[in-house]
Amino acid sequence: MNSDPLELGRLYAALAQALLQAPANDPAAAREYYRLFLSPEGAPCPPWQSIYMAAEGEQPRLMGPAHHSALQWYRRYGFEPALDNEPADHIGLLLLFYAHLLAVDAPDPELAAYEAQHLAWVPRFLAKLKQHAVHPRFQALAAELSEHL
Amino acid sequence: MALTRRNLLKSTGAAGAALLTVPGALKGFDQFFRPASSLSATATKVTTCCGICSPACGMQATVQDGVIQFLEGLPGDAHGEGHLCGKGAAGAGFLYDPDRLKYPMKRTNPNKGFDEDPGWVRISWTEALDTIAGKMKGYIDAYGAESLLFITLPGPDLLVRLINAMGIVNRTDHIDVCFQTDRIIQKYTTGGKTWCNDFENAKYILLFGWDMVSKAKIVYANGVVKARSNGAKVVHFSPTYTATSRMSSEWQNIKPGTDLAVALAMINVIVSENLYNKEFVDAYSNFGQYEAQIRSHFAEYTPAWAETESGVAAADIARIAREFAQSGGGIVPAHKKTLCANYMNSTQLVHAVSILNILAGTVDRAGGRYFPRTVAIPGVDAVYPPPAYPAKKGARVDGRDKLPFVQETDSGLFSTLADGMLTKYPGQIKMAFWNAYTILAFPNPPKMEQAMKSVEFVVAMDFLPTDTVSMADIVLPSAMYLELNDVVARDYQAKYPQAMPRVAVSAPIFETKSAGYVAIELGKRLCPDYFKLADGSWINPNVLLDEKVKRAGLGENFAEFKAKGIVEKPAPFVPRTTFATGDPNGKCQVYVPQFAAKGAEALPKWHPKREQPSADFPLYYLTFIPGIHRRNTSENNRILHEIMPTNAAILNPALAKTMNIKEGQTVVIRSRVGQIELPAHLSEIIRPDAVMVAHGFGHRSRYLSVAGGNGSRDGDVVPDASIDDFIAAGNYGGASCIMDVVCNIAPVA
Repeated sequence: MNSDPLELGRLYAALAQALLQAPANDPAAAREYYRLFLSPEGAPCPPWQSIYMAAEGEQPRLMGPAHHSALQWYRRYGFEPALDNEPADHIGLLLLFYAHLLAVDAPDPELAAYEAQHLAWVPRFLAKLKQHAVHPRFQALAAELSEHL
Repeated sequence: MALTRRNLLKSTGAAGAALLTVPGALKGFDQFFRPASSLSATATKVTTCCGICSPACGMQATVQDGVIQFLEGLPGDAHGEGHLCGKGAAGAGFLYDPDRLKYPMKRTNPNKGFDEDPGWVRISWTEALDTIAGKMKGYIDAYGAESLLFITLPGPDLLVRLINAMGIVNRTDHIDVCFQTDRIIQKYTTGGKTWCNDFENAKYILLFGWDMVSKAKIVYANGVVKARSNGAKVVHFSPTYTATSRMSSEWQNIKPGTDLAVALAMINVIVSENLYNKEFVDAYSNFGQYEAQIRSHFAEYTPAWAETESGVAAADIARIAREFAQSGGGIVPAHKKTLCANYMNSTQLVHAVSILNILAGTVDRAGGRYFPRTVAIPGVDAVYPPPAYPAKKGARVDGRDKLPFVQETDSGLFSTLADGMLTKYPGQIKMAFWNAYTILAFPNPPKMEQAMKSVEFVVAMDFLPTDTVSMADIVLPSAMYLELNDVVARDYQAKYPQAMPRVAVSAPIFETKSAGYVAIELGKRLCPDYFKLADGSWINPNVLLDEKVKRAGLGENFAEFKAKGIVEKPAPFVPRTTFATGDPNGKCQVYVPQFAAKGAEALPKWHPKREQPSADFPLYYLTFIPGIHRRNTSENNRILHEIMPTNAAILNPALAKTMNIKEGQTVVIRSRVGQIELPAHLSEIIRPDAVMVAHGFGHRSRYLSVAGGNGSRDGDVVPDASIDDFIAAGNYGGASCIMDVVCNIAPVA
């Protein structure tokens, strides 16, 4: 059992990266990544929180309230996403930032608030990932994320 | 939700992540995050204009952190009068559609079809552009520039420059299913296509078909409402009872495709009873020069004859003709699909409409169709004159070059394209570049799918996933109007010149780019002399825009123009006294000798519609674009989807009763080319001898999360055509005949 927050942060950082970038040296896994998350024909597992949590009475869309909320969190800790033309509520960014909160030993209330605001939707994303992932890498990713939820 | 540090501590921790673990503390954090900058979270309001359709209503965007929160009309704007239509207000629903195309992608599975996994992988813009340029060069070297097909509007101007520089003869667009016939007719009858109708000063408005009140454009809907408030009479000829019918003084339930008969008979009455505006007609038209031919030509088109064709009572036709002519301000607008393009006789109809406007004496006069007093915005070729373009060689696969008046307009023929690609010029097209069009836009889409499968290499540039994307080898994600700067001259309500900035209220999201960027980058690779300036630098779209603004007299540069918002140059409206029709005396042309010189009709003759009800297909088939949707591009917009999610077969309860069809029951509609299944919707708004289906539904694209597989494709029942069909039918304006269809209907067991 590992109780080092930094180690836990590393775990989440690793999971986040697997969600933020297609695998570099595995063409089949890369195709699966694009099919799941970015298919130009409509992706079965969109990785952005705003699509899962629309504002009251509104339809899901990119750059919704979760995007702005995530930006506020990042800014409070002195950061912004490196790509400013992309949504801030990508699951990879949210996990990576959670890893950062762990690494800087953010207080428990902070962690709890962040979890409530930005990680509560992750099971719905994982359900889609489990349903649609075919390649073993993404099946494993879905299983691994689920294991820690 | 249980993802907490506490249960993490109970987990196997990093050991469980062996598959994905990378060494180093929070490796990658710096790659994905940077120190916070000064981006403001405070909401601001930006003045811009809409880009959903051409009137470009003034708009205010509330923006926070570069993200649009709300769109609303701009008070004081002449087009929207402070309002947006549903589509305009839902603009952010396009921009932030979860299915939005995000990055350049390439297909890795060469097999194409809706049941194939294309194996999309993300590529860089450089790889995408290098690949496209390489393919273009390869095909041109091997087969000539006629092997390339660009399916795009003639814009942006940079893309047209690329097409011209490469000598590409096959550029086509949807204008034939829209207003092409009217463009040809207005050019030769009154001196040029205009979108301006002075409804608020009109005394009598005749509307053939066009449901202008429920359809955006706001400027027209408001115009009709104002006309009614001002006491004008509005008569609507339509086989369906629409919002326009309700707003009109009189609705005439006309048999589909017979509006021409009524228009010809109205001319008959006005001419034979000498009710026309003699002062205008004598001074500003060639009526006098061809009076004998004109009187003789229209003599046979009596109201009694028109009644037998149209079902409109002869007495009503004669009465409406007299009222119109004697109103002192009659106008007959001609607009898009519902009038200009639907039937094999639509070209003759818009000619008759133009004649009615001339006879009313309201061309470029109060209460009539007038020419826009507009701001001239120079194109790229005016700002940076190009070297001479090469001659365009090879066959037009849509056959446009066989219709000289369509050829002059430089628009396209969607209705004949598939037949040309498959039958007349099979194998000619090796590469197709689609810019913001979908297969759904064509009559008989299955045939267009077949045509596209005959093309070796397909590029699809769009901002939303379409069925074309499913057929593509490379997908280019397009920025949309809310993400691009532009300058827009007003040409719908333009009694004096006005222009508006279209402002990038949001930076292009993900890696979306403009078609202008693509044109420049392909130009650099393929025809650098056309994209290089005298000082050796490349054309820069921002500098080009600054130059356009400056030369149009709107400001020193775009930034200054943007700060101004609407720029208006008020000037008195001086009616035209000469008309650039080709007439040597500068007069409007009732009789068009240029048509006769090229084998077309100098005066509009009666032609029946292409297809008549028969024992096999006893019903008229009508289509329409719902007011809340934009052609075939908005069905995936979740906001608009909520308002109108799908389509249905709309039929009269009396017809339904004879067929034992109940509300909501699935029915099959069949024509000579195809069939569709969809639920029945019973309504008194439609004649008992017709069935109507909304256009825009039935997208096939996989996973298109809202529109994919939803509803039925109206076009599957609509025949496409060959260019020979058009020539034989005297369809010299290339009307696409998208409603010239008959069908049957039956309940599905």
